[in-house]
Amino acid sequence: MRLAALLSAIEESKGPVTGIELALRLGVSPGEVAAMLDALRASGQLGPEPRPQQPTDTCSSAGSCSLSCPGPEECSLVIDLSVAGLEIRSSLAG
Amino acid sequence: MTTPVVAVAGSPNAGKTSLFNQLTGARQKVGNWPGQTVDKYTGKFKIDGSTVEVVDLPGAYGLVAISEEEAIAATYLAEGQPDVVVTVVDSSNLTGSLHLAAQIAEAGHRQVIALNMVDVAERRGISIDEAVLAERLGAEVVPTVARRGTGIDELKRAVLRAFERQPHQLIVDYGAVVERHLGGLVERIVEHPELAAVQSPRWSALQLLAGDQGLRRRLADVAGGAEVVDAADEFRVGINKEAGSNCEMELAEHRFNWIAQLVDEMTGAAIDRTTWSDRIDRVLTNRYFGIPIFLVMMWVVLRITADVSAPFLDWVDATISGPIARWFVGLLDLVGLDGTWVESMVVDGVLAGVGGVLVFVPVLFSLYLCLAILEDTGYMARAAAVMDRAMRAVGIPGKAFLPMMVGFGCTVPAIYATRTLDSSRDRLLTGLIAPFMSCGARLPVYVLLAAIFFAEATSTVVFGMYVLGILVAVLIGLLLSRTALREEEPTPFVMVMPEFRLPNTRTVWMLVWQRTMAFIRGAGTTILLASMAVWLLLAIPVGGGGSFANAEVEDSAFGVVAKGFAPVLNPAGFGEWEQSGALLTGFVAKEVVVSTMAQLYAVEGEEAAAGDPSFVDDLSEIGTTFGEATVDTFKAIPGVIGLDFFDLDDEGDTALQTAVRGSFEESSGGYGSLAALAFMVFVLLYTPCMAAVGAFRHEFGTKWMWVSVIGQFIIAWVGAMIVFQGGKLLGLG
Repeated sequence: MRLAALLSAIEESKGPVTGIELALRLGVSPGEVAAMLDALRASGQLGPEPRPQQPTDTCSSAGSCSLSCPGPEECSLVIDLSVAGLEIRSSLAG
Repeated sequence: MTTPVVAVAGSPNAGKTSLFNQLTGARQKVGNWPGQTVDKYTGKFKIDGSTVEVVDLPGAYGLVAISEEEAIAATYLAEGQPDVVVTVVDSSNLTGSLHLAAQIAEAGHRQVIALNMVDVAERRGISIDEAVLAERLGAEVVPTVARRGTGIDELKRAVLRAFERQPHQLIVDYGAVVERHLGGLVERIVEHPELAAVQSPRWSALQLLAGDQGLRRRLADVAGGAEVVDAADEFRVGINKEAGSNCEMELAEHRFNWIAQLVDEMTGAAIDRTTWSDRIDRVLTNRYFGIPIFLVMMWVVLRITADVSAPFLDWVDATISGPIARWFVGLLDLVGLDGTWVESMVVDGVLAGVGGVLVFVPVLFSLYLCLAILEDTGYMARAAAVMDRAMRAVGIPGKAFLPMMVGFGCTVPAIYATRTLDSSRDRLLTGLIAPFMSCGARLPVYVLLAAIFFAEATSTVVFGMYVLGILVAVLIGLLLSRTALREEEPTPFVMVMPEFRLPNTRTVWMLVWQRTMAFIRGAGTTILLASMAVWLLLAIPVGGGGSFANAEVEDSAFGVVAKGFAPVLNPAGFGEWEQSGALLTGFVAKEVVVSTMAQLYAVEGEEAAAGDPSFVDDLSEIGTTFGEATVDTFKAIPGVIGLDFFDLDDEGDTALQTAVRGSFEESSGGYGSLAALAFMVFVLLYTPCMAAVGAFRHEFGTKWMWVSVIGQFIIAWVGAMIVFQGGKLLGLG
């Protein structure tokens, strides 16, 4: 029941957790964790973190925080942190 | 005869779009999926005299729909009944891609596997036995490199052959308990011919047991559907009881084991795609080393920003105050406006204000270059993870890291980015602390003052400001989470980080260019308007003598307002009206602090004696000094890591620097350095700008906006006073 153990580890993480941390916690390699996350994702147990309607999470001005900032809707100054989150979705599938 | 239809399916990043483009070339149409906003791409291809219609399905990891895209793909496969499905499998990530392929095979579709990105797999030493994959999935397998068009014709022919094949349904063994209940549910489904016609009864039963909401909704309209859905719920409960675990997890575990075994057989190795990126992550996100490494990175970035860009900063300064100022004066002279208020506005208002900010373009360029390189390598995501851990330790919501990192660039989107947090408490808490992260607009203020008062340690002082911002944010967060905004149960989620890679030159350049241009655009709009407003207020005489544009600055409208505010700042060591005036205008935008200083001190200072060089002389001077600045920049690079091979000339203070130094020495009674440090702390901590206040009000309402504005002012005042008075008590400065 490796997937169940991984899901429990995520639930117990109390906030964001990385693949490396999960691997250390479960005593498996990061590659195995990545494979198991894929399995949970494909079976609908984990889903992408809900994003707001506006694309504010990917928009950032690194220039000026004044009126010269075009704002979150049209900001061309993108800091793409490339951080994606996966949340537990088993409750939706039930 | 109808045109046969092939659907192209695949998980995101498997190369599905490239493959679709290669299959259809220019023969594509774009529409919408019924009732959805997701684009629907269709096209055609011809091979060996046959025409085939191609439908590009949205990216999906599996057919148990979670996202809108997955729901569309699942519904189309069930209802659209394509003649063949081409499933794109990423050869370098077989386990990630094969879930979808396995589910499509379980649904009983005729399938062709495009084993894509085989070149990447080869480079990683992954050898794939295609025959094993073909045999287990009952599908023809074609190796492709869609990006280069390799294997596309062979894939088209495989599709033609697949049209002639009988559909093959993959049967995965889900274990005795699940199989027994599954069999029971299949029997209930086949009792209703209409239900059995929807799709393979075994596949329908599997999806119902997996809790697929889309299928449940579709069956509600079919005769006997509601009854079967109720039966599925009973079977799910039965499995939960007998297996001692959740039904969906039982299915997922068995399918995962089946795929793991398949990958093992195909590649001769157990699943383990640990990469060198994972190994680097073990160090960079390490519990003990992560934060020190992050701080070292930030220190290096700011050292490069402050030290390496300094020669170009001097060059821009000399160019604007020298040749460009002369050209403007010459032009005004030509049209007969010399000595008028127009000349005063252009020289003392626009050139002093806008020029005073543009001087910092090289500094911002260096900062953006360093940040873009860190972003493109994937390090910033790790930095976020490291910060997250530190924040959670003191009760700040983990997900606050994203808005806070964004805050390093600009506070406005940082406040909007709080929408990514789950609860209103977390959003408000993060919104209240994000403004303390030092945004890019504060940097010119730090660089100006640090270069004047801490010339030997400019970058260290600037770095200190950034760290202080983080510490204050954490401290305030800690305080709020223990008092007004008590902690709630945090939401667990997995951070998926991109693999480390070498930065892409084009991407980095685009990021740097866009950000630098936005800063310059800001100088041409907000800063220009603010500079003209300040000039106007300086030009209007109030009370004392003088006429418009000839008023004593202290008796100008600006001077009177600034003087009224100045006493409040006396305890912090910067109670001169010029300093309070600069801080007042800084409410519009933080760069305006610098432009106002440039205007006020330029107005007050003596004009440097100007020669009368020709236009050609000016151009020659610009070119020569640019070359010198370039050489000096290269000489400064070793200094970033403490290797000073070259003795760089200290060009001495400019007129502005001399005026600022004098002003702070006077306002502080001889403790100029302490007062400047306190001023920087005030700039770091008080209200970022008008736009940030507007964003805060929009997100959290008027009441919390005032809490934020007043709170930030009090924190800034207390912080600055502690620095100044504490420093004096300790005998510093």
